[in-house]
Amino acid sequence: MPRDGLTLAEAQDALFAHITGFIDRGLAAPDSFVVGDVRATAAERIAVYAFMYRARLVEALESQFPRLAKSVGGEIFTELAHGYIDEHPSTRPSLRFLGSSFADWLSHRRPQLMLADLAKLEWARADIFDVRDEIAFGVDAIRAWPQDRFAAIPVRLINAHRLLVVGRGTAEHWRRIGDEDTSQGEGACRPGPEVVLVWRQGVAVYHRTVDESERTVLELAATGTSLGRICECAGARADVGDAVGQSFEWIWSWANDQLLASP
Amino acid sequence: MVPAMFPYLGRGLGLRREHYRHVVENKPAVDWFEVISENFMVAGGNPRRVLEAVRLDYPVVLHGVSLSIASTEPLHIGYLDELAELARAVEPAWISDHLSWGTAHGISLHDLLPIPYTEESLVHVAGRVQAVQERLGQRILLENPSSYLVFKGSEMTEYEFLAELARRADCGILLDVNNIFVSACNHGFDPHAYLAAMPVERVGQIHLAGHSIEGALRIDTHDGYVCPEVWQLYAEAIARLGPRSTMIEWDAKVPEFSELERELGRAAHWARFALSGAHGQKEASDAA
Repeated sequence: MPRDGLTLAEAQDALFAHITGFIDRGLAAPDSFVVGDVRATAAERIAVYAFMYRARLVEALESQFPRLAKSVGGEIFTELAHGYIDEHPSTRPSLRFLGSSFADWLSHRRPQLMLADLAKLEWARADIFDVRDEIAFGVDAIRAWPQDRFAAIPVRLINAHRLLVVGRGTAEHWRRIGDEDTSQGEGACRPGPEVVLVWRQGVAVYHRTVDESERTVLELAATGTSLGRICECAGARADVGDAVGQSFEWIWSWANDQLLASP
Repeated sequence: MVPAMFPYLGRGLGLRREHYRHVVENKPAVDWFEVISENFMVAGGNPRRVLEAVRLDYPVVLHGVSLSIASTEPLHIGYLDELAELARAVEPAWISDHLSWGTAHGISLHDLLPIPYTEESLVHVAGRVQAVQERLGQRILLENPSSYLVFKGSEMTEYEFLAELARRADCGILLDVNNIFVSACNHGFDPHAYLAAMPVERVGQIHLAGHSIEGALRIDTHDGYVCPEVWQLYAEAIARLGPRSTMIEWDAKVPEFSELERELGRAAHWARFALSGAHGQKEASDAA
């Protein structure tokens, strides 16, 4: 045990409490366990770590939600980030997962704005960035498939995709922020939901809105199905006229976008 | 010269996202790259793709920031397993992390926090280093942190602690010369005494970086050029240790790759200066 009576665990507890503010019971005074001198007092020295703790996490969140940060501005984003960090401190060795609950937290804290939906879209884009690579089932593979067995063409989406339900206008709002187009701002939001498909192609992440019929078959394809089953599903929908033609169109576009995984 | 326990790789740079494309496409004349382990402990995607491409052309060392070796929390086995998996894939020349802690009460602070330098800490950290080395199947290097506070309860200096830890745990040392200078300024110890205390054979790698000055304290910001005092200290280190794998850390306000290469060229210049004996002669004349 060191001379000042604090064990290693107690010293870490004391510093942890001062840095995070998470523990306040029996908080040791800075001077009681940290050396202060003419350069800086004990409290000022601890404050360096306390400042860096929050600054580092805010910076990490900003990198995960760049357009959200841009849309609300640095001051408000920092305020939001601090509130989030206090309720959802990082529990993983990597900062990569820090923002996983940010959208959900925002939906409870700022439900009147589009912030949560924007965060949801940005998190999905960040989240698929490092999903395991898969061999794509591309258009050449479809062309090479025996025509008499087209119905059996396997259809499974790559793991690096997400299907999101967000407020209508979210994808457009995301684009406007990136383009610095403030002509309508949040006026672009309209009542009702929209479905956004997010996916990674090589090293680039894309997203686009999809209609209800495509959403239904995408959900089917997410876990693996066949072209025949897609056609059946499309045929059962009143909003799809030519079920076979529409199904081929979907499959072709998914294959072009490298959204399909090789069986 | 006492040979080091770790191979000499030459002069390297940190592989940072801003330079991924340049490095993969142009294969610049750098001897090796250091990568932040946590950035690549992912299932796939671009980070792993880049690392695999870089590894084809360069030796790579893994440098972690989240081992939290001095924490009193249990070792994070999941983290160690992921690190071991990455090491199997990359086959790094070595693995390093910091003499610090960053987790408590299940919360990760993502910082490199100091500890009281006591016998209790020594026993605790040495045991954990040995456990980590057994799990990874190799000797690791621990880096001296930059620090802004010291605990009243410390019973020894940081360099006494680090040297003894390396001996007891049979691990290596990643000597960050900028950190020595930053901490020496912040706490008023003699950086030359720090260098003199390092066990020569255990120092496998050297870090150099820039720092900033905030009020009366120096902060290890890795956002600029290596300062003249740190170059001098580096030359002194090389004169004492002999050739050591050296890399420049530059993590914020990251410049063009060519600027990093120029800074690495300065490191080569200072190392030649040190090994030519000129550094020792200059010290002797200064002392006289």
